[in-house]
Amino acid sequence: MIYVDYAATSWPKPPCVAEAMTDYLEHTGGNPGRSGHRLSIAAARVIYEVREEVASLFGIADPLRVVFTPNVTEALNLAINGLLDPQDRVVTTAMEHNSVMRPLRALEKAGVEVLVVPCHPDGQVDLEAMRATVTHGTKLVVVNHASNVVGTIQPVADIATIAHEAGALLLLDAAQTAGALPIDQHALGVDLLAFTGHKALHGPTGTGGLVLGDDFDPSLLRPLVRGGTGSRSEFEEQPDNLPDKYESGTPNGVGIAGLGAAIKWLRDTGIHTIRAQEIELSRALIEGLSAIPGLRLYGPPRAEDRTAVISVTLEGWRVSEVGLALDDEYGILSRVGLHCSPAAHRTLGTFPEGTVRLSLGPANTRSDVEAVIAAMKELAESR
Amino acid sequence: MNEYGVAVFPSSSVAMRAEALAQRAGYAVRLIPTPRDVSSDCGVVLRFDWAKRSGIESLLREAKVDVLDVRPLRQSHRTGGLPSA
Repeated sequence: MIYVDYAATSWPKPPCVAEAMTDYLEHTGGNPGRSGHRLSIAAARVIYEVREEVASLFGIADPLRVVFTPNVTEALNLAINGLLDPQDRVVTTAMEHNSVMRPLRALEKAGVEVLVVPCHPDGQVDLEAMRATVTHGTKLVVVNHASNVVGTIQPVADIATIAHEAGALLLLDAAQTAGALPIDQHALGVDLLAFTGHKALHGPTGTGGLVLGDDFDPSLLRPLVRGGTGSRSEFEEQPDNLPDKYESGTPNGVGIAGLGAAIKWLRDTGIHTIRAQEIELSRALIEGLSAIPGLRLYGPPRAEDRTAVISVTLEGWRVSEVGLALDDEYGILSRVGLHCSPAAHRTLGTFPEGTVRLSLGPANTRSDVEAVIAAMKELAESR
Repeated sequence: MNEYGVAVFPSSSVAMRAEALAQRAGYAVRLIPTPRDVSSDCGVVLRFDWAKRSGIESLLREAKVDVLDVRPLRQSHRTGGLPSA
């Protein structure tokens, strides 16, 4: 079996992830922050240590600015719904995932002005159009760091400059890049960063979060969910302190424990090391696929300009048939269709059919890439 | 017998941060359930040797840890010791 669906979720996870989760369940698992006994304190300590890991990963000084959520979608919903009011203006790009577009379209109905900046056919945002659209009075700019369809990496620092010059905040959707690329939130100028734990961070599903920049003012951001936090229990109003303001209900301690182990593994292995390997494999995959007649590649031609996400279509084939044939006949696990990103596929010219997405990760090898190329070649020649 | 003090925080996450900072700085501290006469919050406070009060206070202040209160601990029962630093 060849797993090339890392953009959906990474698999297999490093063994330390399951070990940390088992250890949490067997030895740690009190309710963090609720009771005062040793198991509750141990659970809270595990979660705090993972906050430190995440903060360090993104260059944040205060670990309490790391807010854990069940996934990146909820982190994006927290930021978008918590910041925007009717009459506000928000600017985004034509490469966004539905986890951004759907909350924005819902707010549009409530009177928020939503402006979508076009992107070039390879997915790169049109910076001139961005500059012209993000005018004074814009409250928020939301940008996908790298496309989940074609891996295109956006020039985040340039977009941050444009946003800040107009007095707007920048929310970065780092679903595909947290763990895949080095990210220094301050150097990039990112006010709010939404991440998932189960893709390039190699943690379990059910983990993610919103990281508030050290200079971001939390009074601007309403909570999405309110409830028990274990703190300020005498009051029926939500507390203001971080991270409790945004973390109601018992957290996913076992998942967060796994995420912590994953981030330690990532740090020991090296993001740069994995990135270099992924660039090499992506380059080989792009080169091999380019030589197949009837196969069309989308996204930036250079592996350096994208995460290890390659999207293709094959002349004479429905993408769904390619996906099934790859799975059934070659044991190659890909993802086909629209990838929850109709806007991105419109930009790429692949809407509504979609593409076959091949996304690589640390466990892939050169022989995996060669097998994928050989399979696609056979499929192309069989029509 | 040691006299203890407690530092009170707005949440257990903040208490965890205070504990980590104090331990890294070499202080013997322990998280204990919040005494009811200190606060009606559930959760924990950080107990320390009262003689180390000024050092711990300045450590937390420099790290911008949100401290609600620092006070001596009134003990009505035995409450265990501090772990060695």
